[in-house]
Amino acid sequence: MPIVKTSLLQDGDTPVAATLNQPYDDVATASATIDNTNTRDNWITRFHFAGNNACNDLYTFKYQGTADFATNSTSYTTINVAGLSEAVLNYAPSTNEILRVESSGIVSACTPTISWDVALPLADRGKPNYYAFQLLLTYNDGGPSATVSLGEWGYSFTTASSVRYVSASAGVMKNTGAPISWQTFQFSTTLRYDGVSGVRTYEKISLQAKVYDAANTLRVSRNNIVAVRAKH
Amino acid sequence: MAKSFIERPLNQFDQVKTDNVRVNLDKHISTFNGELDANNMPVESVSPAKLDLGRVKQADLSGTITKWSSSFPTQAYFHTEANNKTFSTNIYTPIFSVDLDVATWSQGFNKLSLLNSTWQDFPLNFDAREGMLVGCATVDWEHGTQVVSDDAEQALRSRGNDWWTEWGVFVNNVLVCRTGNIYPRRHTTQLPFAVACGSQNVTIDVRVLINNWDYEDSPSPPVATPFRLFSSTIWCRNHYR
Repeated sequence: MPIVKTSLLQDGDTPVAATLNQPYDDVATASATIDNTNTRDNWITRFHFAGNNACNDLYTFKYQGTADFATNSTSYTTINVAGLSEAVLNYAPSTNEILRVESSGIVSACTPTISWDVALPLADRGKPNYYAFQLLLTYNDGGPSATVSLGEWGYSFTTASSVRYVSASAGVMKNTGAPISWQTFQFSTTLRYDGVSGVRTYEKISLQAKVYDAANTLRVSRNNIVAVRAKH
Repeated sequence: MAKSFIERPLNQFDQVKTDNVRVNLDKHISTFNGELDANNMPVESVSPAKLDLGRVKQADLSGTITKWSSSFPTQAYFHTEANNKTFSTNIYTPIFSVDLDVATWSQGFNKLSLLNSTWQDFPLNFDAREGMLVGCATVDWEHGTQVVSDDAEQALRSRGNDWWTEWGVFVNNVLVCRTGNIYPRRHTTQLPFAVACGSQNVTIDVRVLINNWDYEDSPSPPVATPFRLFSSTIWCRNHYR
């Protein structure tokens, strides 16, 4: 709505009906197109958003039981304890919308056959005890569904040391070989949609896991995915 | 505009002065010329079509350090990341590794850019609007070895409890979130934070505190003490007041 003008009436002028009515007529016409030239800063409150028009939408998956999902796969597998760990989205984002995803869970009693990352005298071997998680977004642009990794994050199997077994020659604590289990995993990231509004449909987000060495078995118990769609 | 009263009441048989007519008219019209507020607008009247789409707030940065932003009517998001995707590696290969026995680092909180200059561009920097900064840093890292397989003694060995790492998030150089000591293993650490802010420039960074000791005497050969980074991400939501 544009700024509404008024006539300058001064003493001695004789107002006529058209002059007096014009501003009111203009308001009546232009008030159908009120915009930010007509409103005060910070006028809006949460109560002004229509009921189906939240600024953010929330999508979740959670498994809160105590059963395990075990894998020794060296390629990513969707965690499946009592059903696949997937948060169903099924919405079409607008340009520059944000998808914010957080995931966490518990790594339960693992079987780390290879818990070391250095084997003397070969020195640093780095990888053998690694395992990793991935958040995978499935989307559809009109044809077959496709996927994109939102991110990967890693951990390592490790075993407990013990002050009871200090090596006399080395002064370095010996290791009991007992796996350190029941630890949490957690990560989060965000994704901006750069395409045209309404073209792409986000279908689901999957939580996946893999191990570097198939001799190790990763077990995951409680886990969850929280996705926030930031719209406005 | 809460409620508007007539400025100069006109009563029957009063003489109408043009000035009175103008003042009353001006007051009425001025409401529509920039003073409409929450009291004039129906609740639940703002539909999606009446809100702007997200806009890119500041120029994106692409490459090994990738940054982007998006601004909405009620909030803005800012994101920076360096990970195996931006470095085109796999999840088992560090995107940087430094030997703490020879690298330059301090006993206080170290900026990642001190350990690797590529991280100079990593901190988030943006002009915030008054409200809250709610965000999270996620770091996938490994400090040294945790379990050593010693073929000579046919035994596994471990680091002691005086070998640890701590991470912190700094907003404008103020520590707003810290992890406490984390003992040796590869670990993905999440650091959520929430702080109030004014309309001001904001820099958000993640830094690392390292406690390390030397394997000078044993075992032989010495075990490497690398500090490895696999990914670092910070996202921040600026929720307007």
